[in-house]
Amino acid sequence: MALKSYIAKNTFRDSVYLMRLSNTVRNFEDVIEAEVIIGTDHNKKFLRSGGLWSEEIEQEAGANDLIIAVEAENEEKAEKAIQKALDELNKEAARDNLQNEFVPRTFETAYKYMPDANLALLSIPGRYVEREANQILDKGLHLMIFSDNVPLEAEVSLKKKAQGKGLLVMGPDCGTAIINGVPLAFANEVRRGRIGIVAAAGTGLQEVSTLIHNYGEGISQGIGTGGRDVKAEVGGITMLQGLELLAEDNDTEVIVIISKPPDEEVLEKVLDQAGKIDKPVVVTFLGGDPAKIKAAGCEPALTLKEAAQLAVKLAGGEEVSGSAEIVSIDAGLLKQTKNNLNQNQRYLRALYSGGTLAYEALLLMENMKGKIYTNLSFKDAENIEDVYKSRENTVIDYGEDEFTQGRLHPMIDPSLRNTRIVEEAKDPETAVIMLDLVLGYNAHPDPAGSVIEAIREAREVVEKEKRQIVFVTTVCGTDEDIQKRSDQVEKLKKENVLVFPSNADAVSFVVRLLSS
Amino acid sequence: MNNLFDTELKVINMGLEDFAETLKERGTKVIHVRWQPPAMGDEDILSLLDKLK
Amino acid sequence: MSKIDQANKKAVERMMKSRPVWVDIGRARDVIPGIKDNLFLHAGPPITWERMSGPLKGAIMGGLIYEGKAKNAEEAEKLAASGEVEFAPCHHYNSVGPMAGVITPSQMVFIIEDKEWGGYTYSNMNEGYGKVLRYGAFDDEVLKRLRWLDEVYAPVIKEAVHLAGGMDIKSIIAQALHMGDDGHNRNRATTSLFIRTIAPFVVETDWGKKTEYDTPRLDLSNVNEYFKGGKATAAAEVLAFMHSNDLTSLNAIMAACKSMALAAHGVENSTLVTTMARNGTDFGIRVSSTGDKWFTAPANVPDGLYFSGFKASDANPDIGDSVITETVGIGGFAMAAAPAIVNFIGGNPADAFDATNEMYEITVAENNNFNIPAMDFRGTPTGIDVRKVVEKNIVPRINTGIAHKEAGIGQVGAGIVKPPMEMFVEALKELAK
Repeated sequence: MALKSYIAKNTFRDSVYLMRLSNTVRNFEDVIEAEVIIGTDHNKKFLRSGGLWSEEIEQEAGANDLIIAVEAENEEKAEKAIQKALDELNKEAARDNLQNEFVPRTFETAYKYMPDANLALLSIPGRYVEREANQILDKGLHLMIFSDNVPLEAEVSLKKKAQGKGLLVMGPDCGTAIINGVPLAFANEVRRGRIGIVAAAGTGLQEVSTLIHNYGEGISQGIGTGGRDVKAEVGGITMLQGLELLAEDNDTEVIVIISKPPDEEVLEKVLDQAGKIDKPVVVTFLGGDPAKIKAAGCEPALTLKEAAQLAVKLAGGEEVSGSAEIVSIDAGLLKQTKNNLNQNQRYLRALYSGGTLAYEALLLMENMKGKIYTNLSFKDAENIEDVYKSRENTVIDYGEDEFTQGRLHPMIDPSLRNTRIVEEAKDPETAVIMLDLVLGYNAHPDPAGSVIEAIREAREVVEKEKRQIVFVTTVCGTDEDIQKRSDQVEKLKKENVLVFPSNADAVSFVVRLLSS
Repeated sequence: MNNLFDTELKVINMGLEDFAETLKERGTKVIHVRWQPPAMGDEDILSLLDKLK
Repeated sequence: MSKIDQANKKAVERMMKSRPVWVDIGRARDVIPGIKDNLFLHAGPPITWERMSGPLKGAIMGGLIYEGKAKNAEEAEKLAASGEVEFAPCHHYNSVGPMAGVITPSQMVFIIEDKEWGGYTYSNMNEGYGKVLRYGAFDDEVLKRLRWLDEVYAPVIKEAVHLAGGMDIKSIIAQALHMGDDGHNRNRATTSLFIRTIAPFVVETDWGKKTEYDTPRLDLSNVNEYFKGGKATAAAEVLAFMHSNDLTSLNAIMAACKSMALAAHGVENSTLVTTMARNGTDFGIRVSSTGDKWFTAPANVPDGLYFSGFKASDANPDIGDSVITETVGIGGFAMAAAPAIVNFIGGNPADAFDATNEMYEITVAENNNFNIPAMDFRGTPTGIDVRKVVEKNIVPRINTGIAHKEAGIGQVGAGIVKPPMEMFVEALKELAK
C-alpha cells in the first residue's frame, strides 16, 4: 500500500465540485481511498483522522491550496491516479451543456461546441469561401459549398487538399445533396434506399431522386459536386471520389451519374472508373454520346426520367410503366389541347427555376418548329439578347445570375417569374407557358398557390382577347416534402393546368403539341 | 476515405440560417454560425492577419 | 502551434499563474518607484491638461489642493496648466486607479506583491460613493475624507494586513465569482470577503481600543446612529466605513489584476492585450510584445442605466483603469457569474451568458482560477488576442461605472462600453511590422 499526495498551489474549486471529484478519483481502478480537498486546517485534520496524511500535506498545503491525496496498492498506481485527478481538474468543462443559446460567430467556436461535427455547410459570399474552407478541412470535416462565385483556382486547391485528407468537397455552387438520408440545402425528402447518385447538376439530382422516390424506390446517398467539377481544370475530383464512396458503400446497389457532358479528359476518367465498379452504373450526360457510355460498360440514359427509371429497374424494383420510353402521351389529351389554340399561337415560353431542368428541356426540343432562344448556353439554340423579352420559342432559366443578383432564387421567391407569366400571356403568339415547380426544404412553402395567382391573371388577359393558353407544369418533389407533391398537383389541376410526372414528359408533350 | 456514411451527420452551418433551421426541424444535429466577413472584409487587414498566423 | 500561438499560451499562463497578495500599505512617493513630489498619476493612456475631460481635470485640481500646492480651484487650474506639474498614466508606475484614477504623491496606496513572479503593483484607497475625488469633486468634504483615509483608515488596515500576514486577493476574486460578483461592476461579494478576512486583525490593531485621534472624524451616522458623537473606536469606524462602501475591495482587486496583466506583458511575439485603460478622453491599450507603446482612440460614451435625475447626455466618455479586470478575464467577461446586475446589459440572464460566451471568441484560454458555476464551472474567457478582436470584429465587453461629464458631480449610472476597434487595428499593424 502506498500513499501519495499532490498540492496544487493557489487553486480554488467549489466544495461541491471537489466532493464530486473526490468521488471520481475514488472510483479510479486500484484506488483504495482518495480525497481532493482545500488545505484548510480543518480539512487537514480531517485527512489526518482518515489516515490520508503526509508530511507534504502538513508542511506545504495552505488554505488557498488544493490537496489531492490518494491511497493505492502501490506508488506507481497512486501516482497514476493523481495524474488522472489533475487531468480531470484541468479538463475544460464538458461542451454539451455549455452553449446555452449562444450563436457562435466563427467556425472555430462552433467546432468547440461540436467537436464531432463531420460536415460543414457553407453559404457565405464566394470570396471568403477559401479562407473558411481551409480551416474546416484542417479540422477534418467534409464540406458542402452552396456559395457561388468561388474562384476556380480556389475550387481546385480546396478539392486537392480535401482529396489528400480523404474528405469530400461538394460544390462550390452545390445547391443540393442528400447525405445519410439528410437533405441538405435545397433538397427533397426522399425514402432511403439502394440507389446512390453523384450529380454535377443540382436540379438534376432533385429530379432523379424525387422520381426514384415516386417510383417506389429510395436513395442511399445523393452527392453533389458542383457544376465545375467536371471541367478539365478541376478534373472531376469530387465526382471520382463520390463514385469511389458509392462503390464501397454497402447500402448502395445501383449508381447514377448526372451531369452535363464533362470535358473530354474528365469524361474518360469518370467512365473508366465507373466501368470498373461491380455495381450497375446509370450515366446521364445530358446531351452526351451514349455510345461511349455503353462502351465503358455503363447504362446510358438520355433524360433524367430515364435515368430514374433505369436505376429503379436495375435495383430490381417494380418495373415502371413505359420505362425506357421517353414519350408516353395521351393522344386524346393532345387533341383536346390542340383545339384550344388558334393558328397564331405557335410558340412555347418556358420559364424555369431549375437550371438542369431548363437544360434538359432544350435537349428534348430537337423537333420544335421555329427557332429556340435561351439565356443558357446551348449549342442548338440562339442566345437571347434581352432576357426579359421572348422571341419565338424561348426557354429562360430564372436561376441564372442576371435574375439572382441581389434577389432570392426563384425557387424561394417566384414573384419575378410570376410577372413574366402575365407578360407572356399578352403575346398573341404564345401557345404554351411551361413552368417547373420545385418543392423541398428551403423552397417556397406553396409554389402552386403562388403560381396560380399569376395564371389566373394571365387567363383574364387572354380571355378578353378570346384566346386560351395552355399551361404545362412539372412538379419536382415528393409527398414527403413539406409542400406535399400531391397537394400541389391537386391545386394546379383544379385550375386546369396540365401537370406531368416529370420534366421530360412535360417537354415531350409540348413538342408534340406544337410540332404536329 | 473517411467513414462519412457510417456516422451520424453532424453539421456546422455557416451563412444562411434557414439551412440550419430546416436541419434542426428534421432532428439533424446542427450548429449555426452567425458568420460575418473576417475583419469586415478589409483586404489590407486580412493580409496583416495572414501574416500574423 | 505557431510561434505567435505559443507566445500567447505562454503569456496567458503567466497571467493565470500570477499570485497577487496584498502585503502592505504605504505612501505613494515612498513606495512606488519613480514617484516624485510634482508627479500626479491619472487613469488611462497619457494625456495633456488641455485634452483632459471634466472629471479628470477636477480630480487633478483636487489633488493639487490636497497636496497643498494650491489653495483653491483657481490656483490649482493655473498650476495644472502651467506645465510645472507632471502628469503620467498610473500604468507607467505599475499602478491603477478607478475613474479619474488620480494618485497624488502623499496618498496612501495598496501594495500588492506577486508571489509567483515577484514585483509590486499599486492602487489608492477607495473613497466610497457620492462626491469623491475620483469623479473630480474636491470640496472640503472630499478633502476631509481623503485625509481620514490616509491618516486613519490606511494605517489601520496596514497594521491589520501585517498581522494577517497578507491577503490572497486572487482567491477572494475566485470565491466572489461564485457569489454573484463579476469582479468589476458588482463588488458586494469581494468586499464582504475582504471585510470578513481582515476584520479580526483590524480589531487586533493598536487602533482597536483607540477612541480618540487627531484626524477629523468621518460622519458615519448613515451606517448606524451608534457612530454619532465619536465614541466608537477607530477600528470600529474603519469597519463601519468598509461596510458602507461596496467598492472597498475594488482598488485592491484592480491592483491584483494589474499584477496578473503585468505577468503577461513582454512576452516576445505575443499578441495578447496586457493593458486596457481610459482617461475620459481616449481609450488606450498596450500589447504584450509591443513594449510601452500605447494604441489609442477616442473613448466612447458608455451605454447603460442612469440613476434617477441623470440621463445619457450627462455622461462623460469612458474613464478609469478598472478595465484592467476585463484584461485578465473578469468583469464583463465574467458577466454570466453576475445575474444580479444583468439590468445593466439588457435585462435578462440570457444576455449575461451571451456576453461571456461572446468573449470566448476573442480570448485564448479558459481561466483555471476563475470559473462560472452556472456554466458548468467553465473558466472565464481570459487573454484577449488582438488578432481575434480584429478578425472577428468583436471588441471586449466592458462593464463600467459612468461618470458625470462635469467635475465633482460623481457617478451617474453604470452599464457597458465598447472600446474603439481602431486601437486594435493599430496594434495589429504594429504587430505585423
